[in-house]
Formats: sequence, C-alpha cells, structure tokens
Amino acid sequence: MARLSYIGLALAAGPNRTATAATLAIGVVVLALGRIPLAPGSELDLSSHQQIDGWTQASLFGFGPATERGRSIDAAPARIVWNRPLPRRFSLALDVTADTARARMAVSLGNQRELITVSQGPSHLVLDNPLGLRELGLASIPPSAQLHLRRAAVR
Amino acid sequence: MEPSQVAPGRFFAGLLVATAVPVCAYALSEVVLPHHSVVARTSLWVTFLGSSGHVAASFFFYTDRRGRAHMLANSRGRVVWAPLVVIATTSAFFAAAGSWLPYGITLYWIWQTHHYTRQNHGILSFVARAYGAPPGELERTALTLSGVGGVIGALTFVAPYRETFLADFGWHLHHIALGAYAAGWLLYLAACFRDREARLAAHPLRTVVSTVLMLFYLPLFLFRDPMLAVGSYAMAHGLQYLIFMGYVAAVPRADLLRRALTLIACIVLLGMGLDFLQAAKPFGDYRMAVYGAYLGLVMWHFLLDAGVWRLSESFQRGYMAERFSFLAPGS
Repeated sequence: MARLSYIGLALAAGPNRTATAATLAIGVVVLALGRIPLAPGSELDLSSHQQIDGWTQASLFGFGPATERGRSIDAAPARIVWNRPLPRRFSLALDVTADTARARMAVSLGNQRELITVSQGPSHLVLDNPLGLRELGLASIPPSAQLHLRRAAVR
Repeated sequence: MEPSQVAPGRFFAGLLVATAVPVCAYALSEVVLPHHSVVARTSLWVTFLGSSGHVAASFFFYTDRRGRAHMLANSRGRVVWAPLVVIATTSAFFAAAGSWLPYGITLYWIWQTHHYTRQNHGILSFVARAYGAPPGELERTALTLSGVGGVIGALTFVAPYRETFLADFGWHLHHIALGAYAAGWLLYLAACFRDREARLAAHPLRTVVSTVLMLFYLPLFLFRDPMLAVGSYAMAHGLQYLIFMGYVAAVPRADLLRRALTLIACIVLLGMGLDFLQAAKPFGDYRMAVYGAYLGLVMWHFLLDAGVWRLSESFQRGYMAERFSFLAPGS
C-alpha cells in the first residue's frame, strides 16, 4: 500500500506525469511504426549473436548490442525475430557456415514449414506470410553438423 | 557550524571534468588505443572509482558522528531496512532457479539508472542555487524525460532483458528510449528559450552544467560498444559522486585529515571488497549468492543516498549547506 502511494505521489508531480504521458505517446508511435512490414533487402547480422547458456553470471550480467533488428541464437534450433513483420511474400536468404556438404534444415513461419538446404554460402527459400508474422524458426539439424548462422536477408 | 566557503566555479568545473573523464577514457581504451597498457590501466582505475569506489564512498556517512546520530534518530526505518536488502538479495540469488531472476535484475537496472537521474536532478538544483535561474517545470520535465530515455535505453544493453518477454522488443524499446530522449531535448530547448533572460543574466556555468546533464545519456544512442554506451555515463555518475563526497569530507576543517583518510579508506578498502564480491571464481557454487550480496550492497547505497541528499528535510539541508556554502540561506 505504501509502495502504491509512493508511485501515486511520484506520478502526481507535474514533470513525472508529463514525462510518463510523453513516453506512452512515443511508445504508441514506435509500436505503430513497428507494424510496417520489412522492406525487401532487409538484412540481419546474426554473427554477433551468442547463445545464452543458462544461469551463469556471464549471461545475466553481461552486455549486448542495443540496436539489433532481431535476435537469434548461434545455431539451429533457433528463433530469428525481426523488428517488424516480414513481407507478405519474400525470399529468405540464409548465410551460414557449415562443416557439412548439404544439410537440410526446416524453416518454420507460423504453421508453414519448408525445408532449406544449407551448405557454405547463402541458401534461398521463398515463403508466404499472409498473417504478417515476424518470427522464423530454424529446426535442429543432425547433431553431427556444426552450423553457425551468419546472416539472414529478406528479398 | 560556519559554512565552508566553497567556490562554486571550482566545484562545478570538477563535476564537468568528472563527467568527461570516463567518456574519454573508454573512447581511448575501447576504440582509439585498445592495446595501450597505460590507457587500459587508466580505464580500469576509472571503472573502479566510478563503480565500487563511489558506492563504498557513500558509507562514509556512517563514520560521520552527526550523520550517524541523525540517521539513527530520524531515519530508523531506512537504517534498519537497508542492510536487510543485502540479506534478501543474497537469499534470493542463492535460491534462484526460476525464470524470475532476469526480471529481478532488470528491475535492478531500472532502479540503478533512475538513481543516476536523481543525482542529475540534484546537480541541477545545486547549480541553480549557486547561479540563479531556478529550473522551472519545463526544465525538470526535460531532465526527467532524458532519464526515462536512459532507463529504457539502458535496458536494451544489459543481458538479463534477453531472458524476459522484452527480448523480442529490443528495437522497439531502443526507439522509444530515443524518442523520449529527443522529446526531453525539445522541452529543454523550449525551457532555454522561455527563460533566456534569466539564463543570460546568470553565470554561463548555469547553462553549461544543465546542458551537460541533458547530454548525460547521449552515449546510449551514439555507441554500440557497451562500455562506451553504458559504462561512460555510469562511471561519470560515480566520479561526480566522489567530487560531492570530497566536499562532504572536507568539513569541519579542523578534522580534515582524519575525515579525508576515512573517506579514502572507505573508497579503497570497501571498494576493493565490493569488487571482490563481483568475482565469480573464488566462490564456486556460491557465486550467485555472493553476487546477490553485492547487488544488495549497491541497493543499500541507493537507499542511503535517497535519504542523505534529501535537501527538502531540514537536517540534510543544514548539513549540506555547511559544506556547500552556496546552498546556505541568503547566500
């Protein structure tokens, strides 16, 4: 109760109330802008992403980049979450480093699931996105295959 | 006690230097001369003084007879509850196994950045008191908005948010932060324009200091390197605090040597102790609990500061006016 009244008192102060209202208004604008689909040619650098490996100090107290346009972990299975919805129909270019000649990996977009063949260099896959989703799932590949994501691009 | 005659120009120049040093040190060590040993050592010292050193310095108030007596007599709640925070965070981290811990640490980061903003408001009050042109609601709102931008922007740099539902919204948070920060600047410029006559009549340091306060969180939006983006202003906060504590320890003059040595001992010994608590290796399976204790001690510092520097209360106002003569009534 005391805490609630403390927050109430803080919000009663003019500068705090104005700052809160302004931030909420900016938040609404940013979220609205975030609903505009990605433009063709959008790329996501995945090479700097690191897998968060549980409850270690490093993962909890470290720092990371701020202005990323999406996130993923280092290798499949992974989620690639973009900052804005993917286009209605797009070609996904996935750039990986793999020690296997041709590994087949499932890429999911909502209920849609397609297989992509990955090897050294970019691999392409055409996907439909009628629901305006912004998250891609990459399924596991055989554990013997060492695969690291480097770049994802929408064309 | 007679107020110590403080030259406000020297004090605020010290604060400006303290604000600039971490940005320069980290720019040198991270970007310009990343492998230079002297630069790296300087950067380490800045980090020590700006983080653990400044937290440790706040415990100097417990060694001050008047400050301690006042705290025990009038702020018993804070004195009793603040140490319990350490026990609570140690226990929480020791028992931590659930997914709530990242949320707890994220809240800690919000509190920490808010704590920086509170100091910025304090400096604004000090400089307005010293040079006139008291800040109106517009200027205070501008500084608050820059602080909101700082809180939200800092979140996207710290790892725990990646373990929360906020993880998928890093881009959105960063842009909301940038928007809030930009809105703060618009209000600040409007305040400068509206109060231009009072500002022109006041000493130039009044505007220089308030502008630097508005620039405080700018590194968040300029740099991707975390040390530059977050570390620079976090350490600036710490070094500013050490300037304040230097003035606090300097009065009464008759006791200057003992008080100065006590402050240095607090900074070095307690600060090294705090640094040690952050090391993971020596504590093995208890490293999380020990880190919880460290965060609890920093929270104690937040609570202590929130009381000691509350100049709306008469004891604190009088105590600080003895050390910062420009705060004294009629000065």
